Amino acid sequence: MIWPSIYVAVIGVSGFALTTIFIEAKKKTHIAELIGMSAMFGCGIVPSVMIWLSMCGLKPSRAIILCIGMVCLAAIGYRWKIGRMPSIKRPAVFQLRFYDIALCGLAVSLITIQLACVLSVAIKLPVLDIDGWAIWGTKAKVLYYEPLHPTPAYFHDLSLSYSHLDYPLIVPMLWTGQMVASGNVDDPTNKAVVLIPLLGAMLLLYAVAREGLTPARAALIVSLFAGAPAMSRWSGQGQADMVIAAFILAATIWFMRWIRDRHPRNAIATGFFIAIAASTKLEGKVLYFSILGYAILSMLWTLIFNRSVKPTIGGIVLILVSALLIMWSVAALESRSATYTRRLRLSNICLNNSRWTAAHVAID
Amino acid sequence: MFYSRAVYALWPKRIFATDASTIINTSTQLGATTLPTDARWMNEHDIRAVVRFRAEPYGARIESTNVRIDPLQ
Repeated sequence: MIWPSIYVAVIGVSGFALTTIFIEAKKKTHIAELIGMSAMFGCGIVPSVMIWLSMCGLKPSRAIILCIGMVCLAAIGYRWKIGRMPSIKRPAVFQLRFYDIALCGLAVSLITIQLACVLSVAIKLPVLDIDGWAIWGTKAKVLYYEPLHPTPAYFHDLSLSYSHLDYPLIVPMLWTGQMVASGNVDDPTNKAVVLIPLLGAMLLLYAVAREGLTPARAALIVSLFAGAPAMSRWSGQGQADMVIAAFILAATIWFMRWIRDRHPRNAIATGFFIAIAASTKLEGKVLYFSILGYAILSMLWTLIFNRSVKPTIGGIVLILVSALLIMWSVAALESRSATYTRRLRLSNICLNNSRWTAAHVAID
Repeated sequence: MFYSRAVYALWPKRIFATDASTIINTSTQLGATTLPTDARWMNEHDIRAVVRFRAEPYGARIESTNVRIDPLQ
């Protein structure tokens, strides 16, 4: 139990280290945003680093997990020493009304039931869904046993093409980290680590909703998000649908901030999350190209009509960061067998409409 | 279902439904495959058993045959 807890702690610490860099120093930040953003950054950076090291020939190991944690702890210590830590916003005081208490009780009950369901599926049951074992679980085991350099034979074996050989590796590597930490590759509880982005997204959504709503209404929005079919059906199965929804939410938050203040720091965070979303599932590429398209148009517009350089710098930073991350993450895995574009038909999109609910709730 | 589940459960041990250049995305493609029977190939891939699945009205029949490995071959 110690090592799995250490792995979860390393995800939190590494995420917090990045959060302290991207959230304005001394800015009063909601505690839910700090924890949620740390979870999302951690779930993006830890598997990414392990993928990059694996591409250099180093299999994921407990030593690597510890090293990532130590480096991030040192970074947090440095930020604290130079006084660049974000500060926590004090909770607002509300006059409690029966209506708010009832609404809050309903929301908390719904969230608790939902979390209990997905957690029990993640911890107690083996992987029950074919996508869970065929696409994500098999890749997690491949990454556990072999580094990505030289490329494992699995990625060239077309008799396993049902497992989508060229699917991105963020979720499998997140899962592999837990396999490495627990030391038991077949432990069904390993897949519970994929619930961290769900918790992160719920907290982020709450923090963002709280900017304009009362705590009860914000909690009710979170309960809608947590109760969406994609969340309840796939969250506990170690799948990527919920993870990509969470990364899209984080990317959208930073993107809105970048639109608002054009600060390069927000552009870097947007670039990070859109690249991670595109490295989580192929659907993430839609968001990736949409935001890049907006960034390019916005840069051209301001250069031509406003003669302003600041947004251009932010846009270039966004494009460079995301492009570099994408290159690093997917360079090893060129497309070999999938024919996704041919299958991208209206009938197939309609068949998968339940998956869109979570993304819609996240984006709205 | 059984094929993909078994590949996941047994990894890094392997199930070879066919050679590595044949695409298997659907059950129809899986049903159309031919089992590798070449002794040298089986020896090179350290094949231990041949398992056959036959669909029956109330389930499936599974037959397993051990394969003798000849180290000198």
